[in-house]
Amino acid sequence: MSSHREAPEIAKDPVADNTDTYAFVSPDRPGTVTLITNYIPLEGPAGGPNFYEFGDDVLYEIHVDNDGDAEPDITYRFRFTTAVRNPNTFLYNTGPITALDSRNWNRRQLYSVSKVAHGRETVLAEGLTCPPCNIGPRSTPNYARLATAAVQRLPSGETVFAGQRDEGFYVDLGSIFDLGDLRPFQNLHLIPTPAAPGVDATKGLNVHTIAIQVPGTALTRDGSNPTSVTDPRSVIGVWGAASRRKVRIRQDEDDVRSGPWVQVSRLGNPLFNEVVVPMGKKDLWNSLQPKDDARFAEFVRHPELAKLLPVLYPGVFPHLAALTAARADLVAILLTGLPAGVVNGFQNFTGQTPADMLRLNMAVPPAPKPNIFGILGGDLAGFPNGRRVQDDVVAIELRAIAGLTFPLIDHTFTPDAAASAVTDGLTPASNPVAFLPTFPYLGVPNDGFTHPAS
Amino acid sequence: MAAGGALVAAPRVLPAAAVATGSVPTGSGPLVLHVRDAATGEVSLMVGTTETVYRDRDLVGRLLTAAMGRERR
Repeated sequence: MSSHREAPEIAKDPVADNTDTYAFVSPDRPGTVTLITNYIPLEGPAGGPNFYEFGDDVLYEIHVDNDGDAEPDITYRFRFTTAVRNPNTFLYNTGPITALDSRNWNRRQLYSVSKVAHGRETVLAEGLTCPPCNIGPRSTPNYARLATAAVQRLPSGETVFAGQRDEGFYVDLGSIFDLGDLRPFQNLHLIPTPAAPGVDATKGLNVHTIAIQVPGTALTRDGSNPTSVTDPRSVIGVWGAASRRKVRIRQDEDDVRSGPWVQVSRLGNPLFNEVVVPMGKKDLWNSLQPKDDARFAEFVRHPELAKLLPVLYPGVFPHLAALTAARADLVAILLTGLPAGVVNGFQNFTGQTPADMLRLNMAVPPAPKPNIFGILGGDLAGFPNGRRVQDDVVAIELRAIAGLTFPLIDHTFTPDAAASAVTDGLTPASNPVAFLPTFPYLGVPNDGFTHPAS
Repeated sequence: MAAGGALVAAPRVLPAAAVATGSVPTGSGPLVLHVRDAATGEVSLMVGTTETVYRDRDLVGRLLTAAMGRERR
């Protein structure tokens, strides 16, 4: 998946598992940028009585690099506190929850937001309320309204939301991890079966979202308004992270937590740690910073998946099979950004420091009709220019790795015909829950009474 | 520029003399001591969100003696 359970250690710590990161110019407020990090993969909506929640002992962060050195210049920090109204009941709620201050809601989460810049941390807000999980029609009868009430406009200019959302990342996990037997191309696989449509493995599941909408001028290195696509100041690098204290001592009462915060999860580009970094280095990758990613560049230059595709699909990828050169196209997409002159009218280059960050050129306006294939589909406002919630990052990265983007740096290379067609057979329409046209854009979470359906 | 807030667990490393003069940061909350290497006497001292690494063979020796004493009880 994008980064759900993508490394051995973090797979055992879902509360801290950063599953997806998004960064895009807000389509309904184009003077702002929306940054989203998701955590807790594959939430079953009916998972009570202890429904999903953020970790009180986890430090959640969204980092922004605005000068190209792959180190954070701006960091938004989110800290959570759980409050239990009545510890003498086993119930999450003792009646319908119709407002964020409902006395029927027994276990709520509050959070603070702070901003770190120029080495100083400033608290932007405290005591903000997360919405409850979506329990069902009796417990959370008007969930959309309840969640909308949890969208908070801060005096400092940001808008924030933290709480449960529908899992917007669509992917056919079952086919990908069954030896790359991509539906609907199973008939071409080394071990063939009849072709069938893709299956959205995350449909009906939820995730926990931290979203913040920030004026673009608050993200540039000098406070300038990002209006010129060619101006390096218009480009930012974004990644999410989660950290835990170095030591935890279990005892009868409150556990002791001490020592520095230690990063246990991070995420810039979707699927980077998942399918590029080998198993033995995934935990290490999660502990490092983007500025350290030179040590992983070799796995981008010669990705394992590019070698597997011609083997798994005999005769389908002959040009890819013959391609032995280092994949400078993938290095540009994933580690440095695309320099000017590669794609007409576009650049999101952040310099030669190889670093896994989502790179967003904030001067590219939102597309009136977004193409889910992003830049590969001629839509400069989509991945890998940042990442929007609806972008088909699985197909985009599959196609890039299959060789579709290699002509960007070698005009003599002809991609295989399959490189522009490969997909896992899904679109946003595979999920009946629609994205929202406004912040926080990810859809209303599935409720536990009707999901899973009988 | 690294003016933001990436949190890297980079402990302060002090010589034993510096510790003896009281330059280890103190603060509220528990103090956790981790003997990283008994052979060299290297210990890690955690207070709040700080971590200080230094060597104190005498301290580690006393801790080991105490630990062995507990085992015998």
